[in-house]
Amino acid sequence: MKSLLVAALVLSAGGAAWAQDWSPLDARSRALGGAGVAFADGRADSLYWNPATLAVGSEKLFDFSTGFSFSLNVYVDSHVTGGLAKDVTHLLDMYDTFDLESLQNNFNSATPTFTAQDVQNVAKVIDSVAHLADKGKGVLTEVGTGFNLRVGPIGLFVHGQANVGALPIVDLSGVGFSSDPAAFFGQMPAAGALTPAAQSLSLAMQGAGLAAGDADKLAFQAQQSLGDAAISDPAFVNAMTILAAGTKPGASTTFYDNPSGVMLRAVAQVEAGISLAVPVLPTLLDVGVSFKEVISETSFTLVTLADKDSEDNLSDRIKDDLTKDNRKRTTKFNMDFGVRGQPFEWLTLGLAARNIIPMDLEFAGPGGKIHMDPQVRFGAMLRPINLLRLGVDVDLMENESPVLPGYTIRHFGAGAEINLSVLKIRVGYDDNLAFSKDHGRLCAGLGLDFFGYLIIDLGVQASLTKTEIQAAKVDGSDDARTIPSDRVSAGVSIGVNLPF
Amino acid sequence: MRKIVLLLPLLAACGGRALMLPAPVETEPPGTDEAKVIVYRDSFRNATKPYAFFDDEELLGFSEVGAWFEVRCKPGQHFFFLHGVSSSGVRATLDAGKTYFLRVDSVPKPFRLQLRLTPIVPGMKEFDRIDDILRGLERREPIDVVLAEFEETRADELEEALARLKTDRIEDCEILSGDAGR
Repeated sequence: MKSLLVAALVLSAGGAAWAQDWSPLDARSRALGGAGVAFADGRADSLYWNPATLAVGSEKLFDFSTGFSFSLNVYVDSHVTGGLAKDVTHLLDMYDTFDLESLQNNFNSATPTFTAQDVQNVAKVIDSVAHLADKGKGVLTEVGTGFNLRVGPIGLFVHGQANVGALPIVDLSGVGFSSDPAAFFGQMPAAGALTPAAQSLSLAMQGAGLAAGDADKLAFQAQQSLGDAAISDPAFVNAMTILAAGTKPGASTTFYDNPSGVMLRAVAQVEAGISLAVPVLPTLLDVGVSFKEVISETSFTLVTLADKDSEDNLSDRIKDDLTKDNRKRTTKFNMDFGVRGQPFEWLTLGLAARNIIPMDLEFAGPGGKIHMDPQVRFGAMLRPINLLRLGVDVDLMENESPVLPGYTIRHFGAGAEINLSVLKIRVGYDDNLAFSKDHGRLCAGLGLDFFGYLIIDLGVQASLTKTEIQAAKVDGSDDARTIPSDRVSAGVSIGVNLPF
Repeated sequence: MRKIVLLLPLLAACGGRALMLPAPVETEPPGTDEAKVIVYRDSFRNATKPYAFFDDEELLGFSEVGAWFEVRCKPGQHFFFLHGVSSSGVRATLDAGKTYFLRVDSVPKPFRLQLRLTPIVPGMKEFDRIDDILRGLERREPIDVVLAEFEETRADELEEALARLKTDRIEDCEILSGDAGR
């Protein structure tokens, strides 16, 4: 036990690794807060969490008397992190309401006619763009399915999981306020008295090459539009500084055409393999391993904010990028490993490592590859009375999502199962300890176990945190729209157990 | 859904049948010409596996987790024998009118579970607490047809295991003396 704790501490001390979310494949674990390693008990589903559970019930090596079972699983999971949907809709609304395309033409004109209000509106857009790329902000969608077959201590499996992350991209490098700075700043109203925050912003823009008077004018309008707190925010200061540096006569890229937007990154993986478990000390300590081939497909597309005005066939381009033009396939061998111990009747401990060989996946997007590291999870289950099981899972490593860089994951899941003869009632709680903006999810589910042979499970998870998916319209024509949860998921499993 | 419902009886038919049946907890004390032996299994390990319990070559019942059963024997020498993934034996001398207790459990050894049949005798804590232990377990009784069928289908295997125990491992078999009953 001491060595297990030491291993846990060593692993915990490391930084974030890159890995897919270790999602509950089966509906039972989904209902139990994702505590799949804790509750892995020899059902066919369990080999996904810990291959050592294939030795549950074994009294000797290659004990096939433990029976035959298989299961089919399907699930979906949708997750909005950090309010991206609200921010994007707000930005697109501002592009429309302020007619940014026309405004940019006005900014670029040799004889501009824009007003102070126009400059202040653009400051609002810049502020929103600057905060689009806050760490971990995005949308994650995941679907998965699996087939598991157990024949005594041997398992066969095929698991398919697809993750799509919508990742905001802010790229203002080389972008300027206007292609005709002299006319632009000539039209801009004179600055009033600058607050200390505005002075500081002005100095930052002067450092990037703007004349003091021009920087003061811009800083003044930004302060009038957003207030002192917003213009002191490092993200906004950084954006304004980059735009100041890019504001040169004849600049080819101006703010409206900036390539900021949303990148869709997708990873779909199918893993197929064979598992084997050995009862090292039967009924007390089991060890298992899975050998598998992992076929990964990656793809990406970038949709800029200006694309919505300039492209009629945007949806076709997105589809082509994701399914054809930017699609890459990688096939790698990998392994899972697990240990399971039951020192007392009322206590089961599990330690499982998934994808223990680091993988580099071909990727057509930035970086040229997607790296994936191993994942390690510990689970413990208590059975204080026969009717009740309580379990906890925790990731020993912090993982960073390969489809949503910046979004870190360390699962903590807890669940309780009331084990009646036919009906199984499950509740749980699932949380991400590594990302403070994530909210815990309540989990629930039912299982029906007909004579111990046919099993049907349903499981759902939902956070109880409302999230805005559309900001209120700038012109007041529409209110904000919210949905009751920033993460929802559901799964269903069907399994069959037959004794030999 | 209708197909699933229709499949249920078929699935149920595929399962193993009961080896022992629930029985009333009340039990008569042994008569003057017999001894009573109570076999119980309160260990949780490998709850799904029953182990066969013999008096020499005669199958008397199956030991199941959370349950006990009783057998009545003639006084004198007996060789009790537990068989499953491995075997264990007890060399017993039974006195008339007394009740004896045998505990069934298993010990995890490398890559194989070792079954163990342990006499519970005076001086052991379990002996003093035996009534409490049995109250926490369910009483079962054997089904004659099942016993006969099991003996018939596994005759060769059982004969070999018993022979090995009596020859190679006789010293490993614990002794239950006549005065260890109550």
